[in-house]
Amino acid sequence: MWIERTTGVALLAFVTVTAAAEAAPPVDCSDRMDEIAQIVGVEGSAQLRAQWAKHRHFVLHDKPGGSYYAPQPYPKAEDAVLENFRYAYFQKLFDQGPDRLEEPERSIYVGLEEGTIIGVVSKVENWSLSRCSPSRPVPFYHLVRLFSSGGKELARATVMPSGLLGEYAQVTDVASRAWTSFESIEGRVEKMLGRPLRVRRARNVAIDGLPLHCGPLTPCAVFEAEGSTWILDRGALLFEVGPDARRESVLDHRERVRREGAAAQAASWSTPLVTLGFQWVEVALIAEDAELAKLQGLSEGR
Amino acid sequence: MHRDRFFRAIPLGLVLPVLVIAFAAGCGGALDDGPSYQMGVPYRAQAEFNFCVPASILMWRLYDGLPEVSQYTIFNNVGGAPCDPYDAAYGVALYTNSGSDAYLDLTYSPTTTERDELVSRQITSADRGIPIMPIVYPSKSHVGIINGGKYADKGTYWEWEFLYFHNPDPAYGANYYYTGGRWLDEFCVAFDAYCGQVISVSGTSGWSSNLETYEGSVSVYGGGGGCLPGECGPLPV
Repeated sequence: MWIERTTGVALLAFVTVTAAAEAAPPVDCSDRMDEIAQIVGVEGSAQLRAQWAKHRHFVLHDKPGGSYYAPQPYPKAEDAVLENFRYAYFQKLFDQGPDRLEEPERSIYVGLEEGTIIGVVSKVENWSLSRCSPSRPVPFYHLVRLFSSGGKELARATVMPSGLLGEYAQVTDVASRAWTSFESIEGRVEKMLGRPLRVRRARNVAIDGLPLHCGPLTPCAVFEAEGSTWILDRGALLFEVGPDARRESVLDHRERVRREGAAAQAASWSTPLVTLGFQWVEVALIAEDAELAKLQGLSEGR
Repeated sequence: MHRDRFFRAIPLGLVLPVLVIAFAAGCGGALDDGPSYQMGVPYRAQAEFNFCVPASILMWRLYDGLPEVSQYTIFNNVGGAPCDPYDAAYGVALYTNSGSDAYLDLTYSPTTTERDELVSRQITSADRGIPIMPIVYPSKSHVGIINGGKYADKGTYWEWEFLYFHNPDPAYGANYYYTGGRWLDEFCVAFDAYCGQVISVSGTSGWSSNLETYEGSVSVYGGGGGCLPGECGPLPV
């Protein structure tokens, strides 16, 4: 990770600072339509909405093999998500067949063909900037986790709200350990904080800017407690979005980085600037599971 | 057509045929793999949480056939502060052969035209078999190495399907398969404060002519939002 471990001196230069009155995250596209339109270069929110509608039309009407085709467009049920994943896996990703694949991908391919691989679908909230993409809003996506019949996790993929594939990768040990079951959150947080927290509304969320990167295949666990939003980053780092967290609009952020240079965007370890929807917000590192952090590839001696 | 107006008309991602046609014609890297190609960059995970630059430099170096060097040595010799992207360009020039003329190709608040140009240089370099170290994520907090991709010949147009990314973060690993649309999200979109990549000068020569030649014939597959409807090449009727 490209991270400074200082306390984020550059963050002192925030242009836009607002206080406790901000609504709980995420900031949604509908809250920032004019700003999005300005950055994208369209004439206003109406034109932006027209683009989004156009994309939806393409997805709903494309034919098999097309760039916008999903067998089950805008899936609601888990079976429909898995059908879309299987289509993308066999028809797009590995359409050359299993013979040229190396292990372990070949076994995954055969297992999917024979039905011995188990797919588990989780809905993940998208708090990255791609939530308000110029061509289509992506407020959430589906994370598909593939398991062997023996229960070993093999690979992960994302299926977007449209039903189109996002990305695919075999699961590493680090990613596998980074998954936090909601049932274990209170215990883990108590261990990290040294006191209990009453956890509410736990969900999986993709967030950009965190030290360990809660990316699409390794989402963070986010929950509410004590009037704040909390982020558990790969199960090892616990951040709090305090009521007085400093916030910066996407437009202001672009302008500030342009003025101050690329180094101004280098992430701070203890007070990173993260995306909570279509906005940048400074969060604070509250606790760390040192043992797990070390296991997850963080340097020793922190 | 005036050059500036022409470039404004070129959709992001429509430069892939440069790669497609070059590979089909028999130049570039692992051609026998056809529409799914891997450059063959050896993978290395980062040795420390903030060693994405040293690990990426090492992958590039190993691809050039040079001997393994400790990531700690690279880290120390590029200034010990991998947060500065200029250090990354310096390190590539110092530790690789094919990147001895590498520079930081960086654009603040990129326009559509500037995004097209960055992607065109990226594809031109991959076509020449010279690695690229893109700066990724909206926070621009990470780098890795591009290791190939996949396209499909649709008869009247080309479809850019996947980009293979060696991510030194051990949570992601080798050959992370991005769909074309998702890759554009991660590499360069309108909301980004800047977009950038460490890239070789010699690897990118001729990129602008490639961009002009292959206008309007690539569709970008997959989720994500890298290009607008109507700007992603041929669309369903």
